Amino acid sequence: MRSQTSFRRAQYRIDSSSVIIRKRVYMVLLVMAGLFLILLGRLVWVQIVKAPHLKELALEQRMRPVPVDPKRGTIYDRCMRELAVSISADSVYAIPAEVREPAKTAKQLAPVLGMSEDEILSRLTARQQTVWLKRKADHEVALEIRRLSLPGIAVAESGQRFYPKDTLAAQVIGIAGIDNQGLEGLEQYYDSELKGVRGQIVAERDAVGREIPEGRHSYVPPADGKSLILTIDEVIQYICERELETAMAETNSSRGLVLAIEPKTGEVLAMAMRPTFNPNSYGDYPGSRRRNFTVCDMLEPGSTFKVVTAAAALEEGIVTASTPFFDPGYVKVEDRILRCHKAGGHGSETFIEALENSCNPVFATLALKLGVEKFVQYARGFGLVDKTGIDYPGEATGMMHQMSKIGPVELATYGFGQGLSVTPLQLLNALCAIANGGALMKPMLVRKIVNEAGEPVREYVPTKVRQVISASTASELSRMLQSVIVNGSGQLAAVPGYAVAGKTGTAQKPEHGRYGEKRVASFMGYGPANDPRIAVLVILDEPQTDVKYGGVIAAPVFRAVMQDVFRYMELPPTYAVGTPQSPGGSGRTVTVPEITGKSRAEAEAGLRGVGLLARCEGNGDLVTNQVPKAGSQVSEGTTVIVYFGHEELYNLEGAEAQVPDVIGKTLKEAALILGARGLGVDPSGKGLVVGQSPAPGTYVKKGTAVTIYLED
Amino acid sequence: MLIDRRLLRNLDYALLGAVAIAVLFGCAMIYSATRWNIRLTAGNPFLYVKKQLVAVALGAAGSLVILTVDYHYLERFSKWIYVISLVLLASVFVLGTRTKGAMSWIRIGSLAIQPSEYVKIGVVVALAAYLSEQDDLSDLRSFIVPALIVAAPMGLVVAQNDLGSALVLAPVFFAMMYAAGADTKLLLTIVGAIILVIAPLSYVFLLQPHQQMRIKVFFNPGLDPRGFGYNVTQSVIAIGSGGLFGKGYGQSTQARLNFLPEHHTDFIFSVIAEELGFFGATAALAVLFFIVHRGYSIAQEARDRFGALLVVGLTSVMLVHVFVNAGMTMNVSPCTGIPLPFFSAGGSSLMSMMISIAIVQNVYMRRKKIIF
Repeated sequence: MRSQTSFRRAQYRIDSSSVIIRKRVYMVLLVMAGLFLILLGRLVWVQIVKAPHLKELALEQRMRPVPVDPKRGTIYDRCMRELAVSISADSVYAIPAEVREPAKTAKQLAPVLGMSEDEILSRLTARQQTVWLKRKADHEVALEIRRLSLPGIAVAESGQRFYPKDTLAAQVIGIAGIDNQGLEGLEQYYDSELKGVRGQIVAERDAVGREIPEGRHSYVPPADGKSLILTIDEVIQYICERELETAMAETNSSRGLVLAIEPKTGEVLAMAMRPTFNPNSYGDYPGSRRRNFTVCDMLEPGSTFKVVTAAAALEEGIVTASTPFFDPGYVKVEDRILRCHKAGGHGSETFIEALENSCNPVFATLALKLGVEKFVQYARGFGLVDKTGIDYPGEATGMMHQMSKIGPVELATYGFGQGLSVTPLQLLNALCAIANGGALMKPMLVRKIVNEAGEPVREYVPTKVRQVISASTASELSRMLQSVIVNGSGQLAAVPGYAVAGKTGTAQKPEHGRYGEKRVASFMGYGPANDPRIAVLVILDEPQTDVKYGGVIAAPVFRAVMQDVFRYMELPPTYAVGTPQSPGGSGRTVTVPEITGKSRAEAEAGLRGVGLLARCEGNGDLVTNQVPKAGSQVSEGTTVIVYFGHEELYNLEGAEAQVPDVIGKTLKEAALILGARGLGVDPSGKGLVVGQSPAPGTYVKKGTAVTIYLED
Repeated sequence: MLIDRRLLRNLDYALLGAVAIAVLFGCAMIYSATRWNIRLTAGNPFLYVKKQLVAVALGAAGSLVILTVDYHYLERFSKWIYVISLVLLASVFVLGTRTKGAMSWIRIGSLAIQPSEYVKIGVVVALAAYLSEQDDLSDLRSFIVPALIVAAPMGLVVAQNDLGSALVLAPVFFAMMYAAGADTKLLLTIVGAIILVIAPLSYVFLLQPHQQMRIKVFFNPGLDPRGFGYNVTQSVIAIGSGGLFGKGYGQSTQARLNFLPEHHTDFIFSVIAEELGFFGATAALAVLFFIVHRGYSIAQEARDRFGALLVVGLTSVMLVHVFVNAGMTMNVSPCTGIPLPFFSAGGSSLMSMMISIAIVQNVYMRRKKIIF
């Protein structure tokens, strides 16, 4: 019953209200239509009437003019190897040492970079500090790489200055700030060349200002910076840094440097300093580490300076090599006693022996004989008073008292390198003048400036500053300096197979106006003596070893550097390895043992056991190769080069050379011919070559010693 | 077959087709708007289209279920539906997460649900059920209960800081009251009072500064073009720069380059207008007009008062969404986070709209007594 009535009521409602609803919904429909008309009308207004104006606005927004920095020039070494680059687009690189799981990382990277896993893996496992994975990566790719944040994988941002070799020659190259501004070093000195000219660029950009790859552009292109080609050779720099690093670890010195200059041109081949810093993260290091103390700081040269005194005395005819002296162990100047480093003195000696012995009283005497005027004249002549004019900011000058204030005591101490200060660069450059037949060259770091197309815009030619001493004096002194290596204080600097010249130095370090316990051990020299290709200065500041003599701790660094540089330059040995040129060689012949596959300790012990020296190369655990080969007959005391693990940057192992026919030649000729091909010599007998092993025409690895048999 | 074949024959296929066109059109534009934006898509340009299609599938499944059930069941269970709606809304306070200042989402695993989108349907059902029982809506007293039915959920949504979604219900309320036969003069008086008195008062006393700013910017978009006026200013530029023919599909500059924010959700209409121009935008509006028009027409044909009011309510929800959203992109309505029905990316919005359409179809299917 109830449902009956409710149904009827509903029925009535439908009948009476359905008409109203229909009418009213119709009204709603009209309102709706009105609303849509408003929308349509507005659409017409915005999209048709205002469209031109709004199009303009949109374009304006996207085409905001933005001044865009030019690409900063690259800094190359002398062989066009990149030392500093500016990233023109986001680039992905890896630091192999920091990659934890190379295989997994490669797998993750492959789809993102669009490269094969194998290719990535091979780069991730490369024995390099940094390797590029992808240069000029798309923004999205860079974004994804950052999101993945894999250890050892990083993105160099567009515009960022990047130093791919990290610490290599860091102080020389210097740093550039994020705003394309050279702050230190060569980056600062050549900033105007490197930075280029800013351009006005109007490019289509998105809301956060990123440029649109295929967007519309209209700009005055910026003129990219020019690139520098340095005189620095990356390989030689690497050799110097590595040897310095080793020496620093062994001696615990507070500072150290190895400087290498080509004497004939004044071109700086390497300038290595420790401690150092990584220019890619220079903010993490104290500012003092960035200081290039080779150029910008002075130190007391000590005995190495005797070379200058000797040159002056020889040139002035005050002495000859054979002039006799007597050293009682001191020299009295006015009321001061200046002692020789050897208690009791060297006694009776010729001038050449005095140089070999680095005898202080003799050089004090020579300085006094020269007189202040002459002495200062030669010091200035060798470029030790004025700036060398090297293309590097903040160069220091040498320091000497004013001429009028140099009394006999000062002059006498100057004679053996005490009481005056020079920069390491000035010191080695002076030696270079001697190596270069008496002509002082202006040291330089940049050979060429090239534009972005690689065309040279400026070339720097070697500049002769002056002829300081005659060529004959220079060659006489050079002969004496060779004698220092063979017979004197520099015996540990001897390079087997090559004639080198040099001078040791051990300076006391003035502290609070007095000389204390601290020392500066140094060695400088050049080679090959008959045709100098490189001069090297080694300085170890405040070594913590028991023996602090330059001849003991700095000379071996010199030797190690020279040995590798000669091999790198493929210079033929002047003498056969193992001839009496090598110190410690007794003439006894021994057989080289087989050490390949052994550990470092075993190898060294094995070689020492038969009286051979070991020279280790590489970072591996086991010996992979040795030169000379096992079974070779060599003189006692010969250095065997022992290779560990992977090939080194400068290693010549990979390349093979064809053994030339040297039968019928003299030893020297054979050595030259073999050396020119990167081969060593292992002679036995005297006279002309009658046999050789391996036979002519066979291919052997470079660096292998060819055994030649000589007969009269 | 759960649904009688004869009922199925009675479906409004034109409406179904229009909805399908709108959804596919929307998907195409969502793809165009998101594929450039690696931050949104995480490398998968189809991510948002996929999400949208999943919502379509779920919505379609829900729609099928709804079609099998006679809409009169909604009337019978209207009180329960209403209560559940309120509980759902209130649950946001406990379970909700906050996005862009509004706390209106519930997260269940990877699924995010925006209850306010569904609650609108519940409120319409409840209001339609109540009003269908009322014969006399001529005095102010008779307005009290329907007003309360709408005010309770509105209050909850406002409390979630989602004023825009709440205000959608106000015009829906008036449309349903009007259709139900309420006194026209009284209705107009109330609307007038709200616009002239209550709105300015609440602007001053109730709105928070950022909400006030949105209103200010509506009247003067140049007021803060980099801040509150940014979205609208950029949207107008995008639409205007599209011109008559647009820049071509996938060729938007303002959207693609992120000048235009939220371009796949709230500002999808701007992308349509920028890429496809005046003609494309008009086409989108035409499809929406057709859907809304069909809705009101179905209301007129409904078999009973509840069905008619139900459809009027649901259709009005769509209309308000369309007008407020499209209007916002051209600065004819204030900027609120209201999606464009069927077009904007967003599962909750799309599914609730599809369910609404299913209810409308349900009413249409059963407009005539079926003779067995």
